[in-house]
Amino acid sequence: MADCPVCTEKKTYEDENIAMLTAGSVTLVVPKQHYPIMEQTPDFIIEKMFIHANHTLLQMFEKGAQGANLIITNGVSAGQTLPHFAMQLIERKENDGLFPLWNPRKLDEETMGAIELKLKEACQNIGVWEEQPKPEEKKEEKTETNETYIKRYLRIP
Amino acid sequence: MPEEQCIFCQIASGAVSARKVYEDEQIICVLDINPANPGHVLIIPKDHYSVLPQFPDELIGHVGKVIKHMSLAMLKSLGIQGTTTFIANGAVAGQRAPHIIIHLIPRAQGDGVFPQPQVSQKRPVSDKADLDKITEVLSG
Repeated sequence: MADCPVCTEKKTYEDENIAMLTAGSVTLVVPKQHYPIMEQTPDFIIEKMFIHANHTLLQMFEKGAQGANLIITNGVSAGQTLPHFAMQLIERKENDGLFPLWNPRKLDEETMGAIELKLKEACQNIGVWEEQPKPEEKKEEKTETNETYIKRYLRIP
Repeated sequence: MPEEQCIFCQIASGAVSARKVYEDEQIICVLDINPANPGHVLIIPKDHYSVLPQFPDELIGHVGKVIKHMSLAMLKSLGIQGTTTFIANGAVAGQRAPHIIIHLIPRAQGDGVFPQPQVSQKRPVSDKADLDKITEVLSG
């Protein structure tokens, strides 16, 4: 998309389906095609993004990172500000002051039970993944070898 | 392979009970008993891994798809408008257990669960440019 900063930004890596941008110690793994949120991104692209992100995390550790976060802010309510779905890989250091963890809450048993039932029902279709679209099959050009020529014209079975 | 002394391996094997919302051969999803928000799910690999980079490609790809579809399930069933996926690799990144866990947290506007990155008072001035760049990127 022409007005999307991720679509138009120069990439540090790209292949057919995914790309990476780096800004300081933040690396973004994104689908090449414009998808606003995770739920709209095809399963096979999600899969590739996570595999590539994980390889990148490994490289971070091999280069001496003390720790790293993989964060997905999905939706405006979650703090998503980029219009393009992105996974954030962030190298961490001791006392860097980034991302203080949440305050844990205590919910009563009735509330927890109700949430459990709702989510369980909503999760029933998980496991049926979208298939990757197949590329158009190229027609094989038949090339005649000497052997097939001989067999054809000399009628050798 | 599961480890006997690991509480998350015990949850994954069923030895310790938990509120399970989804399970397959490779992972189990349970409600966090101390959630950031109601519906906070922990996605736990059944085999014991300490950090995400130890995952084989097949597993991390599978986890990615589960995260996407679990997030969709949350959006449809919990009346929320967003989700945050948070994975901490290493203690300095916020990892609190020896078994890697993926947090999937339902989000609502202004819930204060994940404030934007803040400049720490202790951070050296020379690194401020780095954090400015982070803020710039995350702010679109």
